[in-house]
Amino acid sequence: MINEQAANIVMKLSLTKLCRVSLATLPLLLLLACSTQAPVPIQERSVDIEQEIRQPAVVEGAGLQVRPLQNPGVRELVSQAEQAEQNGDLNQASIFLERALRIQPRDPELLQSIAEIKLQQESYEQALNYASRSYDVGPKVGELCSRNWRTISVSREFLDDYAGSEEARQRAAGCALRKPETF
Amino acid sequence: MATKRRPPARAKRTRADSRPNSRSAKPGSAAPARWRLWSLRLLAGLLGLSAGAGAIWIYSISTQVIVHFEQRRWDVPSRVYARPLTLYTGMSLRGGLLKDELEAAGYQSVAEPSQAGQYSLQGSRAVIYTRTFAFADGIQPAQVIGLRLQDDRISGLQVNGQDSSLARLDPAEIGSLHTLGGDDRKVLPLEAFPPLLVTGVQAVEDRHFKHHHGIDWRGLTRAMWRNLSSGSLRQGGSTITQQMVRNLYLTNNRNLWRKFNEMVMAVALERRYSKHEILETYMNEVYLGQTGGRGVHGFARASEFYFGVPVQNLQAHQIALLIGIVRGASWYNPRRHGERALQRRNTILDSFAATGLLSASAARQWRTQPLSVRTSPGYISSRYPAFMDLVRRQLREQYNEDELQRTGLRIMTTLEPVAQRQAEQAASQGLARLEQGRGWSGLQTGMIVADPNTGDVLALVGDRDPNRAGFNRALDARRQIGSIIKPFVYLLALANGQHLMSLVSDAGVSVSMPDGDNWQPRNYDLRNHGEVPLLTALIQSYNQATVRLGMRLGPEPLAALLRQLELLPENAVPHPALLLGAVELSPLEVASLYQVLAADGYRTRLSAVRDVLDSGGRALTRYPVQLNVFPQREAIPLITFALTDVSRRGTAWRLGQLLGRQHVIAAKTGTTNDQRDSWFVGYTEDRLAVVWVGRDDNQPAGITGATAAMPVWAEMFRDIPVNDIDVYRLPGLNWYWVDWQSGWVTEPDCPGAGLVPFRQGNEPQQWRPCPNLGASN
Repeated sequence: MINEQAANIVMKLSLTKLCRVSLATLPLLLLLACSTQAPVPIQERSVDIEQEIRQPAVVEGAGLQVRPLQNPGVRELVSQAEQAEQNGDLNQASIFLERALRIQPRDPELLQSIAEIKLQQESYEQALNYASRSYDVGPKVGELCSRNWRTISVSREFLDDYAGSEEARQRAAGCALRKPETF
Repeated sequence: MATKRRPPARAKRTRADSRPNSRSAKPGSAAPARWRLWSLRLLAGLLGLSAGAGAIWIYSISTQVIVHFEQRRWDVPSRVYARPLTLYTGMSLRGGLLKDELEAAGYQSVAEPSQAGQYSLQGSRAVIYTRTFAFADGIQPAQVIGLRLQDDRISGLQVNGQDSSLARLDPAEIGSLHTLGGDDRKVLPLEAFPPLLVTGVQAVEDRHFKHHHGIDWRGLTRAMWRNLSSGSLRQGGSTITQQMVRNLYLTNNRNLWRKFNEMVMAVALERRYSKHEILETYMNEVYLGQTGGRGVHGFARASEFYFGVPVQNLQAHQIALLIGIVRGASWYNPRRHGERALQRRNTILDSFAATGLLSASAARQWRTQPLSVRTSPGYISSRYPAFMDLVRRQLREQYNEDELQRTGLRIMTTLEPVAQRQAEQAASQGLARLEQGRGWSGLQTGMIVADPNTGDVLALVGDRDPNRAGFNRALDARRQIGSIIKPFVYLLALANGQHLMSLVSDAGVSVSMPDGDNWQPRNYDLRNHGEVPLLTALIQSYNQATVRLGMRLGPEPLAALLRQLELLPENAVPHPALLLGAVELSPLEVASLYQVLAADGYRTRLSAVRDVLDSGGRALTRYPVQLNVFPQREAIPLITFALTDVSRRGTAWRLGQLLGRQHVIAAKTGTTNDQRDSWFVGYTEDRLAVVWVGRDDNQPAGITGATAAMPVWAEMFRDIPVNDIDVYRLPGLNWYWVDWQSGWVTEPDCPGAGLVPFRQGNEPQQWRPCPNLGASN
């Protein structure tokens, strides 16, 4: 069952992403398999951060990258977190990101990175809230805006708020067009 | 002192007395013979009985000592650490603050750092040799960090000679969680002690440790002989194992019976445990000093206590001093009796040379060294009692007392030593100054400093004497909060379609109560101010306008808001007086109320603990930063703007004067009925601090928020760099020039007008040209 799921995920991916994502997903699945808690209903789908959030956001953001200057210390920790994420160690990644948060708590890019880790950790409410905080302090246009709303959309879906999820999907699509309304 | 090691006079009783010798009776003749036989039998019986009793006694005390020993071996209190200092390029940092941080973490200032735990700070350059430390994200080996400061910022950073953008110091150890009145210990494996210390302690205290079985008969005899020949009781002859037993029972009672028991127990320990185990426990257990009400036990702790360095970093003369102290920690206390301690140390150095542990020339050289003991303990176990109280309370949610006191957990907290020191100084000196200047007396305080974004509690003060443990006012003094509540009344109005320029009447107000009474709150200055914009009513803290505004929605929404933050019981029926702060909260609770504002509506729990690791450095529990969206968050940036106006031209207008600088700080004052309580809350982008000042007996103190709590708050923040609020970056706001009087939008730079933020879609509709613009230009 677990292997099938892993295989499905792997098949969907382009070759370039293959190594990276399978590495990232396997330990998570293994972790689930080893869990001794009472069985929980298996989600019908798992979130693929690259496919559902990051890559479409590049397109949706229409090349609009508004990156406020990131603190070099934060940048260093974020890249360590990315490394940990690629190695499939989400826990370690979130420790690095939290260290960065203590340096620059209102960095929208950083807040979104945390949201994406929370999403992969299936902590949907936290993913939603971090993405929302990122949006509040962020540029509200372009790629980051799209990642914000896509994360919110997916999180809401897992929290069974389907209307909210759809609304967020539309907000994501609007990130390239105009500076949307606040909140 | 001299009598401590008196040899036991009848120590040889043990075996001889425990063997009955019933066969020595020989049969005699007739009646006398029978009598003799009976008496012999009786004697034998008695001997047998006493031998049996003796055996039982020996068995019982042997078992007892093993249980004790076992307990002590594993009974390791949890160690508590401050937050580690993260350094990064561009970070705002002053040389003085860096020095304070390093001193707090027990770093030693030297000309050129050559080993872990040392630093040099010259002008704008610092070199820090960090110590190996197991963090939640892994072990960080010792590193040499070089940094350059320019204009109070880090302009360059190197780690082990490589340019870097990021570095982290190992954190200050701030205490341990032990049983009340328990001892302070730090337990290391035998291999972690420097070899000279391990061999040295044997050379001085028990030369035959490797070979005896708990009692060193040769040593004993020699000691007895010397004592007899010198006519005084100078030599002890106790083995390390015997000393170990004495330490376990913490007794200095030296009668012969005890001495006998001690020997029995020593033999029992030797039979049960290896030399390695006994020596290791001894090194961690031996009594070496006193701090506060606690004993300092073991060489690792003593090394930090006397020299402020880890035991691995001790130099030969320091090792000699610690070994010298074993004989009598108060007699040879190097802080009190320097000369005596120095002589003792030199004697030990000589015996190092005599036993070949040091060469004669090395020993001579070490003899010329001063004692090099820190004047203040490198570590005080009873520091930060209020903060430690919070740590303990938070951990109790997950761990039981036994786990905390005995399993050697490593607890990573959020304490920021510099912020804590500033808060403590503000509490003690600030209150004393206030009392002197104004003739007040008997004031007390509770204070908390936090990072609103992460919920980290950075400093906590529960008493004006910060080292006094006991009533923790920051957590337990629940007092009416008065005007501190008002921003939340306005928040609800702003979330309900009002804006900061909406008008409210400040005319006298009367609210009829369910019990038939009329409640008629008055303004502090007993005047009515007519129709005023919400902004004015809030920054001047008008009671009448606030009640009128609040009664449009009634007290229930405010009660619901407080319930949501768990600051009001579920079943509490709100009284309209709640609108003016008739609710009792502790400083910590007020901080959690304002955290929501300071973090733009993302609520997070105030926490004193980040991570709990086990003794091997594995992560057991993390306390991640969890965000919760506050329902009225859209209106919060408006409140933050208004509160920065409070400290500019409202009730806290003197703040800038007190801080001695320009600032943009969100602030609110609070004073309760009859001037019993004085509150001040202030926040920036990265700091939130709450100060309460009042009397323990809750009597009128003649104090107001602006006259008592605000100066204390300012004293705390005068010397710490903070990130002021950039109001123009507050999320979701549009800015308009507004005429203060009418509240209408007008032209830029119009006299009597200012920039005011509005939520998008909720701007004021009326516009009028600036009448005086031409004239003023």
